[in-house]
Amino acid sequence: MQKTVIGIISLLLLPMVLAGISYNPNPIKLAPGESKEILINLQNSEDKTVVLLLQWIEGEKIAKIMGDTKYTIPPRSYDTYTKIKVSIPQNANPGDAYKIKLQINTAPEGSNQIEITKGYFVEIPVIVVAESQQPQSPSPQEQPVPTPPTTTETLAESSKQNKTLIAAIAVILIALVVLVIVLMRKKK
Amino acid sequence: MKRGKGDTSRNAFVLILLVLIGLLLIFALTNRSFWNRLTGKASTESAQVSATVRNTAPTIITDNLDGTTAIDLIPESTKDVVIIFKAEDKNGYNDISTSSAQTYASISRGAVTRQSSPGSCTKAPGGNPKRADISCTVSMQYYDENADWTVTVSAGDIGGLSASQNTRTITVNLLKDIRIATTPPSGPITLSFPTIDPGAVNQGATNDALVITNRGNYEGTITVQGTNLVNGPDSIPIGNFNADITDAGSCILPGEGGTATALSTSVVIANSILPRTPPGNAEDLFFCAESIPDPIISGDYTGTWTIVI
Repeated sequence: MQKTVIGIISLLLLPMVLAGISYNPNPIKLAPGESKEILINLQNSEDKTVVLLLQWIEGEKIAKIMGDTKYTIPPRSYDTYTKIKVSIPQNANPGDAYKIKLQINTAPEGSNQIEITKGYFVEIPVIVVAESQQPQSPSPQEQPVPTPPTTTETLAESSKQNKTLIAAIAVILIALVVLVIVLMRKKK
Repeated sequence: MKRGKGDTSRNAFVLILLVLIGLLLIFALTNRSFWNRLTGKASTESAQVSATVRNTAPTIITDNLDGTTAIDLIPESTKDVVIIFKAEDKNGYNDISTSSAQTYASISRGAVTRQSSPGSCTKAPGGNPKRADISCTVSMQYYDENADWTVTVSAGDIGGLSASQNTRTITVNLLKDIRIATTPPSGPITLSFPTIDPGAVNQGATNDALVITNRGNYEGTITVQGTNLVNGPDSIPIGNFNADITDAGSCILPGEGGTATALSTSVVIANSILPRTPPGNAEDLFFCAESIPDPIISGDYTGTWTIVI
């Protein structure tokens, strides 16, 4: 039997867009009924716009993408964010563990040949806890600095002592004058 | 009636006493230094005064005026992170020196420290005459570890005294970004197989490796997600292709004594590791068509393969 020759298989790497993602992969701890929004930074290092596609792999039951699943990222842009809202069911139990897993791909550019794209997993563990462990809103707290008495305070203290001294002298003088007057009257 | 001798003496005593009191009052009222000492009022007399005010070290009042808690790095570049903190110096705002090598901010983890350039910090009035808001820029590298880093801020004064604080952490987020290229990375970027006969085996790609270069701080394995290659109603299953990190091993599966990984809809390439720290922050992938179905119709077969980290 004569064999058929297959044409060249060519995996075409289309002009590979330079796009990436950044996010915090640390576990999220939430209590039953709580929710939290997380941000994923979508970046484009190209001089042209690129398209990124989001798709769920795991965790869709407790989380949802707050915007579109297709993002057009402007050239040289490092501050486009997609927001994911994570909500823990009321009937969840402390100790339950979930995982949010998405994949963000560069969009195929439509070729008649075999195309290689690239993608990024977003994986964030979610742990159910008994009580809320979400950080409080950051509030820069000024630490009070112990300070010695100021110059003004020292002067005020000194002035107070002087007034007491003047009053004491005045009392003595008045007493002496009164004594003199009494003595002079007795003499008459 | 005549006055007695005793009365005269008493009168003389009283008179002397009154005179003494009068003199004392006159002295007190006319002598400025005595009066000033009594009242505490400053003397208006000119005099040479010598006083030495001791230089005191600045103190850090708060280290996170900027409120930054996490950093998104920039691929294959540096990310400038501005750290703003408040310092106080009892010798006054002007005593806090931004040209001092002691005035800086740094972000560190383990043995790695990123620090603002000496003398590059700036200051602005911080709300009272003794305080300054100090702003320092720290450049983070794209491959800096995804972890919590310690922020240290330090303020120095003109006299060489300083204070520092390192109670704050900042999270360096995970940055995933890769570049894919062939070797060498020039011209049209394609991965090609030779013309293959039906039933052929172990046909390696002709221009691999695909070089996966890490442009971020991810550190881990590489996944390939494949689809069948399709030509009309016919196809070559994705499972007929292998990948490996070495050319020699790309066609030989572990069951045959090799290390290659059979491709599928999603598979981690065995032994693949993408380091984060340059140089060496790249991984090569080699591909092989292990077997071509027979019979199969002639033509070009297409599909989409995705490199995922």
